[in-house]
Amino acid sequence: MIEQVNRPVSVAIVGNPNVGKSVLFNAITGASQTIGNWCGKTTDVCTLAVHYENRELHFTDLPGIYGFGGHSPEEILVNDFLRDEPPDVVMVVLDVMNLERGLYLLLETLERYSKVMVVLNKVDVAREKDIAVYHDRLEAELQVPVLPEIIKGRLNPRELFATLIDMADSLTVLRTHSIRYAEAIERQLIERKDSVVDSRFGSARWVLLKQLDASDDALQTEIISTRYKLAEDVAARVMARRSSGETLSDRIDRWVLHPVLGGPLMLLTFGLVFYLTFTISRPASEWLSENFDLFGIWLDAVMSERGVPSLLAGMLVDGVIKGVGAAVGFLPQMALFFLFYTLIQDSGYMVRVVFLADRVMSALGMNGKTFLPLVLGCSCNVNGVLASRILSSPYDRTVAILISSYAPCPARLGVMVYLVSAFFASTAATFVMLALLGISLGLMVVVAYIVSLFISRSGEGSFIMELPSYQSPTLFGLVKSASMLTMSFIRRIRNVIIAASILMWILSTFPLGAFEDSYIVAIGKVLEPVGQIIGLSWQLIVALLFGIAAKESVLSSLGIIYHAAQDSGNLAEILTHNISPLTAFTFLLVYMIYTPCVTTLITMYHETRDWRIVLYGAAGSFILALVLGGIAFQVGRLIF
Amino acid sequence: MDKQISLDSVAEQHEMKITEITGSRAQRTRMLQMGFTPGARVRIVRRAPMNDPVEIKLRGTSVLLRRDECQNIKVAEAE
Repeated sequence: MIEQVNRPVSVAIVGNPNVGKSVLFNAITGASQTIGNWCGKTTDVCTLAVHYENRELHFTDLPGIYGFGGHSPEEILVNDFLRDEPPDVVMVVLDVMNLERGLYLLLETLERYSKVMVVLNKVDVAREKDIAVYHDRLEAELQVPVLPEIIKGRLNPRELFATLIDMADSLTVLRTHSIRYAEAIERQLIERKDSVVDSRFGSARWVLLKQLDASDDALQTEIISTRYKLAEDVAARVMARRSSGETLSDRIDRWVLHPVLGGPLMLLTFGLVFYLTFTISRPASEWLSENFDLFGIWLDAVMSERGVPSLLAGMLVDGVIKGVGAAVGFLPQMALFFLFYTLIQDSGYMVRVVFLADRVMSALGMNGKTFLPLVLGCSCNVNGVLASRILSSPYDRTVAILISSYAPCPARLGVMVYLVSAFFASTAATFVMLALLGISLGLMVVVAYIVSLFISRSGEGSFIMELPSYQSPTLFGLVKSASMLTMSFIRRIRNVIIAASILMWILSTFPLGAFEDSYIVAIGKVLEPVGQIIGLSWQLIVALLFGIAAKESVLSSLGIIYHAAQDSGNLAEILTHNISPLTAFTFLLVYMIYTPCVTTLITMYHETRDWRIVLYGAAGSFILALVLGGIAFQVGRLIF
Repeated sequence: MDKQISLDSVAEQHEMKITEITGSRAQRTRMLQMGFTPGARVRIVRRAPMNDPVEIKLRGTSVLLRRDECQNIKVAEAE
């Protein structure tokens, strides 16, 4: 009996997509620390422990589902989890604004499990829209404990925990709620009554219903329709709704989803997001980089005063501080981007973007949701890779992750604009720039196609999704999740950035002496025969090698290699002197396409947990760069 | 009995009654579980640029569907 009392109580949280399960989960577990890996926003299962009066409660946040049908990736995951770790109590979260759909899931849960409790979410939102839901009526109607209004800090966790512990400990086996089906189904249920049923799956009645459901399409329709009829009846009895005309959300959508204006408005929105991200973050970035430089200079002086060996000082200043400084310079931009991203997601605009872009994307062989990582990848490839989380099927996610690294990011654009304007007159420069951007867009389509040859699309999720009403996220909430995303981003990349900076410093410093004798130059020279095919000298190859650490460092390394002075006007002259326009174009093409930067590669790994994807991403773009560079150079040589 | 047509061919804002859901097992299951059950009322709210996907109203909420998914929803005039 003692054991019984001290046993942890396991609670599985189940609900439709977007009912606010994750918000609830975070509220009850107080789980600021876990949001870091986007618990609950992905298809990962996340379990956290809470202590309450000497008892431990284990809450598991499961992906959003509509029923236990077991076809979609989310349903398969939920069913697998429930079978392997049967919970003591199932907690069903209902969205008052979408009650019938939630009640359907609740009714099926009640058929499957005996210990079920309900949390009513978004009661306050509903009240603003003149919708009232009476939780006591629902409680009486279905004989389950119902806790209302758990969102927005009005949660009473003690009541929730106490209810859950009581339910888990109660020895009286609560009767599973039963729905009366049509005669034909009930008869079959009785006939199958003696068949052996694995109780890990849930109640015998539910398992038998599931078998019937799977055996015949007509029976499935009958079973689901019967549940929905009851859901309608229950909803009508527990909810009072004053007739509502067109909501504010509907009125906004008349413009946002307008057949003609919707697309341009969307592009304008993203343009504004980019513009704001870069203009607001620029002063902060510059301030950070400058101070990092100053700190480096100061540290160098202090260390030489104190007699620190110059090599060690060099590693710290020229390696670590310079490398980290470059990465830190991007942080304000990342933080701001995360803020906008959260806003787009939480306001409900993201779904609308998918709606507007789907037709074009599917014509290109991609899921409509891929549009988002693709566009956001243009602000930074890392963002594109991160945004690929909105895609649920493995195939679509892989496509999105791999193609977002081909999006022209500002770091690359900066270098490209500089070099293009150095090599080509204004009209030609415009055409070259547009040609390069056109090629990168075309490559995304090609890469999506190549991926489709290697990964089966069988796991492809259907498009169907709900269009939620607009919500206005709180500023506090936005800042909180944006800063959490930023912090977790820093945590992920800091070690890699430091290691990469030190590695590049070692390669360009040793063996001691002139830069021309360093390892990196040696590597460049070894690679030169390959480079010759695409017309690249060892100098350009070395610059590209530096670019893998950070794309924007290509310019500064070109400066070092060609002994240009700090001011950039000089570098442009030296480059035009040493490199032909054809080589310059080939170099730009290769630069735009080849291996993504280390930060992007690391993010790819963290998002997929699969080194093969990273390898495909890195090697694939490298090979594409070689092939296209080769074609450009060889064809160009014939023409010019 | 009214003539059965696919929802895709119905004009916008015209309310119909679902008669049947066709298509693959996985897709049917998802649609049924989302409440596309025979007897439920649906109407197309709007179509995206180039007529695909489609926003429809069902059970008081909006759902987005591709056209080919919409073709699997058979409807008849709601009386």
